Amino acid sequence: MGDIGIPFLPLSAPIFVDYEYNEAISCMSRLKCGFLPFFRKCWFLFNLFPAAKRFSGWRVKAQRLKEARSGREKEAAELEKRKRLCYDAKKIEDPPVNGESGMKITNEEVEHVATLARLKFNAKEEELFTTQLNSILDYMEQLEKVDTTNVEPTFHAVARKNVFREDSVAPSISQDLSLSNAPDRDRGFFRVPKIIE
Amino acid sequence: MELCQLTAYQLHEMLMRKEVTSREVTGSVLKRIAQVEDRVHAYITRTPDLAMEQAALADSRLQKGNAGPLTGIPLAIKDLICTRGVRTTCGSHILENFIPTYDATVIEKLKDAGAVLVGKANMDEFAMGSSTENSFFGPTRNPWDLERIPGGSSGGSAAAVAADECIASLGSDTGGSIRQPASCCGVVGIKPTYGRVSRYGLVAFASSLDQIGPLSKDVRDAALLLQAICGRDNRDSTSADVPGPDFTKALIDNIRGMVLGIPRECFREGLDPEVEAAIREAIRTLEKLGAKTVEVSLPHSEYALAVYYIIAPAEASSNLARYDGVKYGFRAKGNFDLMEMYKETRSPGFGAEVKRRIMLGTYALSAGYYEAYYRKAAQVRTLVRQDFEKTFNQCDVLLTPTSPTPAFKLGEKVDDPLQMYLSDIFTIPCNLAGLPGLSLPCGFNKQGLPIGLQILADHFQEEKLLRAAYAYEQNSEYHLRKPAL
Repeated sequence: MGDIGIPFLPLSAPIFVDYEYNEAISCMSRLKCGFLPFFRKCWFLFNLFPAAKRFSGWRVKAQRLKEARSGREKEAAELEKRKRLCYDAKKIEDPPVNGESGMKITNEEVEHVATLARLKFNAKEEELFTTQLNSILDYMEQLEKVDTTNVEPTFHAVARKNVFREDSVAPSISQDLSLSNAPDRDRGFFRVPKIIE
Repeated sequence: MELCQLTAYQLHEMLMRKEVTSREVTGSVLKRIAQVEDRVHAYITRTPDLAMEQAALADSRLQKGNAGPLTGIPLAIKDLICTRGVRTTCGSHILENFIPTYDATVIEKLKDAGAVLVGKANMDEFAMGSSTENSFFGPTRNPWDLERIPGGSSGGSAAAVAADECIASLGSDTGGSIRQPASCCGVVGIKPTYGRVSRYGLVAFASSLDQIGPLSKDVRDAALLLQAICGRDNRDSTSADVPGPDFTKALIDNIRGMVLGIPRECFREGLDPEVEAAIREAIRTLEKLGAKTVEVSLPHSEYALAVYYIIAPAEASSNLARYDGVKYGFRAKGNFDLMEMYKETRSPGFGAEVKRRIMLGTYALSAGYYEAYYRKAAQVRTLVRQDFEKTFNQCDVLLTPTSPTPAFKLGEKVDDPLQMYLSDIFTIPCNLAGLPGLSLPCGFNKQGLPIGLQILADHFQEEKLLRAAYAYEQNSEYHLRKPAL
């Protein structure tokens, strides 16, 4: 949500209820389209008003209470308890495993690779990943001992090529079903943040 | 003896004789789950209502007399195999609420066979791990010792079978993820030949290595389950066009004349002495039964681990690029531009090990490193494969330990990824070469932890695996022991 494609905007008034005051402002300031419907302007001014804000805060709370009643928060808390061990971010604070490796990969490279992989790390995580990746890459170094001149690479253990089938019509899932897991969708489309400036 | 403790084959005979109904069997399994699941945590999602519905359907099929060997048998499914309408998480936060809109081919086949699905088994996130500690939903515990890991990544599938929380289960094996947990939990597990079982609907980790396979209480059940799920599938172009033989025909208690290869590289430093003793004892047992043994060599197997940890993360980094917060799965809430949205979604969406492997894979494939890492690894993979080709000229099957040690303690290897990776040292070469492999119980150590024997065969020679394993099992009783839970 947030910075959304124009066509969907007039329909998405309730999203501002979810947001803090500042986010609402920044959202609004990004909307440089001058044809805001009247009710949207009203909504915006309404949000600026402290009393109204309390009201909207109350609405959010009421919503949360409702959710809690349906037991979802309880479930989430239980789940939180069960998250443990290496999955947990707390492990990231543990001391690095192997400090004195030859440093094949630097912090800067880790940052670059993270961007390629669409990931981001805080400083501590980056430090730990750099150390761990280095110790793993050190282990990989043993491959250099193997003579592979004139050895063809294997990309598939059981080689097959040109697997054909009849180009025939088969049942497929409906548009609605194929969108059913989308975190954000509207009128038959996946909704994403604005892509073109 | 409770119904849940029996094997699929035993239950099938009872169901056919109308001594029990599938509803009774399923009820017994569900009761067992209610008793021990708090301690074992083998499941991410349980489907008791669905199970009872399917059991009722199975009963009507049994009444009508069109039942197969798996009709009415309660099974657990590893949570990375898509089940229509039933949450499939891959043990990950990013797919926490993902509900597949279709069934994997293996699930279609099991449903056609009339099997009953009792739940989705816990696993290391995206099958990356050897202990099931990398699950977003918390670790599974080993039914033989609750302070220990059940192995991984199919730890939930193996623990559920060992704890009688299902009759048999499906797992997936990319570098040992069926065989190593089978070994840790004292059950039978088969990683079929690459291409034997369709991967359609299996959430991809490393596409050139992944295979779905069965975990069960004995060799016969593993054969029955493999029979039910194998075969060519148009929706997976890598599934092989080979006829599925009748695997139960291989279940004969006779291995006279079979040649067993013993790779000398297996008995090396780092192998637990009790594991070594158990394997040597198993080899002696098979020799007494009339098999010949021959020492063979797999000189490049020592490089297999390094090869694997380049190739598998490289493929994973590409496969896991699809989790972008758009089409399905978790998306971070906030006012982000597209790039930020990807990063804010993926960073908390994946756990540490998955991110480590995505990073490793992305690095290995990135400009300037591709030749040094990925291509080099693919070349050494050829040499690993050729080693096996040579040995299978000398012998029918290979025998090795499944894992260098019995199950280790929870948390023991969490901080040292490389140590964790070493648990798969005996299972990985088989995946690189696309071979079939089987693990079955061959002993217990002094602390009462199971030890697994691994049997490997040449491509599409699962019958040889089954024959050797069945003959051994008929002359041992390790598979009959049950953990005290």
